[in-house]
Amino acid sequence: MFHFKYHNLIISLLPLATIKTLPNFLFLRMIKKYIPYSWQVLKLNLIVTPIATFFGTILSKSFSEKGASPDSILYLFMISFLGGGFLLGVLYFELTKSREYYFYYNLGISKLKLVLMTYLYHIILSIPIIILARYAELL
Amino acid sequence: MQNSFEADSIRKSFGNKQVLTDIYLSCKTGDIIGLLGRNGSGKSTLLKILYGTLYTDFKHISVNGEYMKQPFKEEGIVSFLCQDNFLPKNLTVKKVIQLFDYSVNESEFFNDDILSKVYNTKIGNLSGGESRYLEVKLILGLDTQFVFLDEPFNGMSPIHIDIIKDLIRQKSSKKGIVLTDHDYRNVLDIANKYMILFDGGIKVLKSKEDFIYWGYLPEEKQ
Repeated sequence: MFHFKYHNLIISLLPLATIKTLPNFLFLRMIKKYIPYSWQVLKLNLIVTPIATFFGTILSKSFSEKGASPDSILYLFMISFLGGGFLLGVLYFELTKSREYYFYYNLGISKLKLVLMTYLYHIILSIPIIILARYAELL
Repeated sequence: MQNSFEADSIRKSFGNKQVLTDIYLSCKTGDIIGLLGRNGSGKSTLLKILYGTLYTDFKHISVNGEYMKQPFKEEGIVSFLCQDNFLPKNLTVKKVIQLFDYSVNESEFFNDDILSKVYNTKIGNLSGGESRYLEVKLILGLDTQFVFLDEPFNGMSPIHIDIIKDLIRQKSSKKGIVLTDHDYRNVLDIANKYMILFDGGIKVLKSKEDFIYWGYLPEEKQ
């Protein structure tokens, strides 16, 4: 009897589950379309940001005897990752691969949407970086 | 369903040079408009303005009577094949098709003899003709009411050109198509309306004499 009720409940919930997961599924498919662009921007950013952080750290050593604290290194890294490095990545794409924008336009993605979504990816990526840095600091 | 795309009062200048002067163009479902013109006459510029990616101070574009500032931002209205290869070179053919599959019928690609051979090849490693062939198929396969094709036959071998011509004819039953190409014979072969950009204006062509009159074809030697 219990089994019968449980079975019925699952069947009755199935359409609801499909309706609820369908937009998520479509949303994920839409997100995938941004990835090639975001990866291009991220690749350059991952080259620029460590270099900028390295020189920033050296520069800060010349201003104070103690040198840069782990907090300030993380701060420098984030400024570059979410600021200058990101902008350089976008600019690099604009100057060298601007014709690829038509690939995204035909997929229904405007330039503004591309940049905003890529920035969102960068923010999401920066969260584990901050957590890892904090964890390393504690060790 | 019969859809209509109308563009009016399009003007564009680069510096002091007026490229387009008060252009009017109308395209309906079933139309294959061959847009011709000499180098630098403004064909690509016009198509980019119609698509909405090139800014101009003066234009009025409407689809089915509804005003649209940038048609490419509206879903299912228009797709555009630009003059240059635009697919990301680091992606494979398979990946690109998968990214387009939201609206493209994938079986069209699985059953394609030319594309099935290069399915796992990166776009950057394709020949110019293969790359163009894929681009045209993707653009024509999108579920849009209108398609603008800027030099679709560029770099293609005759056998690929014939396949694409058949595909354009087939797709025109549900779409309005505007295309340009420097090989005017291909355009004449498939288009059912002809226009020429001359001196910033657009002229409708009706006979071969018109092509000669507007200076697109040389006068035949007696």
